[in-house]
Amino acid sequence: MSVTILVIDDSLMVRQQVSRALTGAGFSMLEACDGLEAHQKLAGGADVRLIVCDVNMPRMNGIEFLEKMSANGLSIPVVMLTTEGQPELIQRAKALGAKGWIVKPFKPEMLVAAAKKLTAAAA
Amino acid sequence: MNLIEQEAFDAIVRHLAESTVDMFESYGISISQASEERVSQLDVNAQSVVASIGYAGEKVRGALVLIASRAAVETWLWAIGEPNGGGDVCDTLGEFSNMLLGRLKGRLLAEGLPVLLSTPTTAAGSGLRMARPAGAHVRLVFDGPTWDLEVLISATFEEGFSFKEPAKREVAAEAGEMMLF
Repeated sequence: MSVTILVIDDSLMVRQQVSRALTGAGFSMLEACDGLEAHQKLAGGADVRLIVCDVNMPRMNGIEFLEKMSANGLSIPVVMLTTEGQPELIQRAKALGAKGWIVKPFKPEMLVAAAKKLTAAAA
Repeated sequence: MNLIEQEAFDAIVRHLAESTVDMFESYGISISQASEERVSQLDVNAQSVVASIGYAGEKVRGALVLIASRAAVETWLWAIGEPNGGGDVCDTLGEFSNMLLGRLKGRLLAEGLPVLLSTPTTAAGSGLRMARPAGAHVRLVFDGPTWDLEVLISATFEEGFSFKEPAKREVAAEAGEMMLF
């Protein structure tokens, strides 16, 4: 059975790009358009091994999503995929348990390499 | 505007122009900034898509607005690898505006001008026209291979605006960069 990855981004274009890259590498994908919808999917019992998460999103942004994950005791690895590159934000995400940070636009092979590494480490 | 505000706005416009060219270059699309005269020659009756994002820093705030024809955005979908050119043009322009302002934010951070960004708002229609915004603003036009892109940036400064001290300036991670912790 393939490993499932959850992509959280308010842009359909980005969700499609990420899903295309990762399904091509054998992963199964789940999608959410913001942190709130992602938490609802996780609370619904989705078996997710890695999360790829945007930062700037409506309703619940990526940093708030990490805070809620931490508060709920969830330990699924998260890679932030964002246009943001501010060191202060990167450190904040790292302190909240994020395992990686990619600045858009991303190279599909780079994302696949990160996904393989982090899902293998979490297995 | 006083001299510091003018310096800041000039930096915003300069980095915006460079960031726009860089962003399209990263997708293999060559564009160049057109002359100011070209703005008045644009076909405002064409089917267009518009995206706007706000930004705010200490004693400065403004917005970035992108306008492109529907046909232009559809060619970008091809360039980013969307099979069959499928995808939502509003969503796509919104994400491009997000990436552009993200790049600009990183450059401004190094200038001592940190800002926070909102999320994009988009619309599509015909005959879209940009109204003159309050405060300082500049409208740039870029020539793509078969299309034009209009980019408008505005900035309003409050009394007491200043750049951060050079010692406290930061360097942002760049587009395409990845770090694993």
